[in-house]
Formats: sequence, structure tokens, C-alpha cells
Amino acid sequence: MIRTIFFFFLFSLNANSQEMFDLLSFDNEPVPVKSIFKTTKIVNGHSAKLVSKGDLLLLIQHRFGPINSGAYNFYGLDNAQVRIGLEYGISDKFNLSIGRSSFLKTIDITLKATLLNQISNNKASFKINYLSSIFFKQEIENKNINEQLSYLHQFLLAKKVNDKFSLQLSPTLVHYNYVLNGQKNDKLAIGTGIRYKINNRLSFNSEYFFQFYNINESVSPLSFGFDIETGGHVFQLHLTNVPAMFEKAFIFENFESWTDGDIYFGFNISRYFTIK
Amino acid sequence: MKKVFVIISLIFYAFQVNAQKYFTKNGKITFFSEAPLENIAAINNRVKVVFDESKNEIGFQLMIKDFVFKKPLMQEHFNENYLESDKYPLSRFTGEISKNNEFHIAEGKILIHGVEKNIKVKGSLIKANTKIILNAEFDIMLEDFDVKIPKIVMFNIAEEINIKVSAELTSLDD
Repeated sequence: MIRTIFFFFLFSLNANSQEMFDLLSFDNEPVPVKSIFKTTKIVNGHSAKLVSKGDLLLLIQHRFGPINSGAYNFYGLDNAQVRIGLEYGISDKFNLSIGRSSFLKTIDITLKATLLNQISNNKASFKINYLSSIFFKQEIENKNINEQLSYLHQFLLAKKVNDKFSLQLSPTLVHYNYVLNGQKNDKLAIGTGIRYKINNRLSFNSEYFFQFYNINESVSPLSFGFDIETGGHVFQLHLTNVPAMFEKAFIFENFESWTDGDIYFGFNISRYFTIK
Repeated sequence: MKKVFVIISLIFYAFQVNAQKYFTKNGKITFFSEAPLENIAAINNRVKVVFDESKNEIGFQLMIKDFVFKKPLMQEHFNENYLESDKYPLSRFTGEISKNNEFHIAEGKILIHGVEKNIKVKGSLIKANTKIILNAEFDIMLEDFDVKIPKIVMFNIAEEINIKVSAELTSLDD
């Protein structure tokens, strides 16, 4: 008899605290995965991260000259290419950005949109962004304006595999309005990028773009770098074989290669401002 | 016969126990920390709270990601660098409530950033019809929960954080 009472008592107690934990559980609530990458660039290419609503990102990118340019050029540090960009979060899922590169004197305007978020409780899910840019190459004498334009269409498929490791695939199409004889107007590539968090403020990044039908024998960009986060800033320091910092040029118009020692040291500085 | 009676009354007892639970999934927890450069404040409106009146047991649980800051960047740093919400997604309090003169005291275990500590919190518990209104305020030290703040951080973050809790629980019967 006592055993029965005891059993019942235990059972009801157990059921109760179990029920309490069930009520408090968040297990079935999907949450979008955030911070797949630290900032909006992996090295040269776009990352899946968007600027939050109302935030403005000032991006200053710098590539020194090639390391193999000798002591007279201080191993590349005498020369530099610069890109200055602004990115604004119209919403958490929609960004507008504008940039100006000293390389080929090109202005780029980009729209970036999140189509799908990676969901925390679904192992198979990943983030999908679509991105579209227009590149305008400035000339001293304005030619036919159409000839100075090219376009980029890119999908960014990104996944935070665990709290340390993220990866990204970026199918890329660039359309040139104007090409030389024998060249194609449309060029295809697929980008790959990874991030590995060494600790909460430091991560290792790498990036490579593989080209399809590479008629003009552009050398694919391969880059390695570190992201260092200090609160309002993200500093990215890297080594790469491309001096250009916009897709059209760094994927399809690059003739510098690691094997020849054409290695460029560079950095990106991301500074976030909340303006709203 | 006696056995059957006891069992039946026990079943009723169990039912009665169930009937005395109060619950909400919209409890509110805010925290505030005053710092020389910039005050840090955030709000979480999705706190789940259960109160079992028969045993005076109380449980709170929330997701760290649900804290909303004014500045998105601050929110990102809070999740990525300080509370590490990928690693430690939840924060929880479970304990018992006792009454001491005009105050209610909740005593139990609090879990933040994967670290569990014993805690005693003074608050108020008001019962009105089918509702229970809870309010409490307390301070915690960041270092007690292994939340590390490096010297280089530009927002000087205070070591002590003030936490306010308020929740309106409704009975689970109806």
C-alpha cells in the first residue's frame, strides 16, 4: 500500500517537473542563424552577411603593390589600390551599396537581398542571398556610355556549419556590354569561401573563384586572411594574388599569380555606424 | 476498498496539482548597465514563465538571441562575443518562492552563459482572479558567469548588470 502511494507521489512529482520543462522549452522554435561571416566581405568577394537595418558600413579597402616588386618599391608598400565603399541596411534583408575603386577607375552600385535564412533547428538549411551589381568604368573622354558598363549577378549560398566554421558558394555571372573580338559577353565563375573562428574576435578566412570557359586566361583569385574584430571595427588583413576589389576585375581580368610571386598584401577596414 | 479509495484520491490530487499551474510565454526581462561611454540596455519579450502554486515552484527560460538592443551591432556583439549564444542559447531560472513579511523571495538556480549559480531574489507576487503578476529586480556580476570583457573594447562595459523581470501569468485550466 505504502509502495503504491509512494509510487504515485513520485510519478506525479516527476510528471510535474517534466511538464514544467516542456512548457519552458524552446526546442521547436526556429531561429534564423546570424553572423555566418564577421563582415560583408570574405576577402575580396561578398559574404552572406548583410548590414542590419539602419546601419551604415564604411568600407575602406587597400591593396599594396606586389611583394615581388623589389626593394626599390619597398616590396609593394610604395604603391596601393584603394576601394572606398558605403553599404546601408534598408532592411535586415535588403542592402544598397556604392563603391569607387582606383583600379580601372570603376564605380560599383550593388543591391543585395536575403531570399532565405539558415534556420537553427534544420540541419539541411542554408542562407541564400541574391546580389546584383552594375560597374561603371570612368574614362577621360566619355565614350558611348553603354560600352563602359558591365553587370554582375551572384547568388551567395552560405552555411554556418557549427559555431566555428562557415562556408559559402557563390555562383557568379558577369555580363560585359563591350568586349574585344573573340571574347564572350557573359562570363561564369563559382566562388568558394570559408571562415574559421579562432576565437570570438579572430577568424581565418580563405576565398577562391573557379572560372568556366576561361578564354582570356584570367588567373583565378586565391586569398587568405584574418578578420580581427574590435567592437565598432572589423580589420581584415590578407594576402591575395589580385589588386582589384570588384568582381568583374578580380575574377575575370586578373593576370597575377601566386606561383610567379605576384602576391599582394592588403587590408579591409569595416566601420559600422548606426544612423536610423 | 480502502486501496481503491486512496488511489482515486491520489489521482484527484494529481489533477488538482495540474490545475494550479500558471504560465506565460511573453514574460519580460530587461537589463541595464551604466557605462561611461554608452549605456547598454536590452529587452526580451519572449520569456517563458511557469509557476506551480501547489509547490511554490517557479521556472523562467529565455533565448539569449531574443534580447533586442537599440543598436544592431551591439546586439551582434552581445550574441557573438559576450554571451556566445550559439554555444549557450538558453538562460534559465528554477526555484521556489517563499513569503517573507511583505516580500516574496525566489530562491534557486540561475543559468547564464553555461554557468549555474545559486541566487536569492526579492520580488512581488500578486494574485488576481486567474492571473498572477510577478515583478522582481536584481543585480548580477558578469564575472560570476564567466563573461569576459577584453580591455580593447570601445564600449566600456560595466561589470554589474541590473536585471528587471515582469510577467503576467494566466492559469493553465482555461
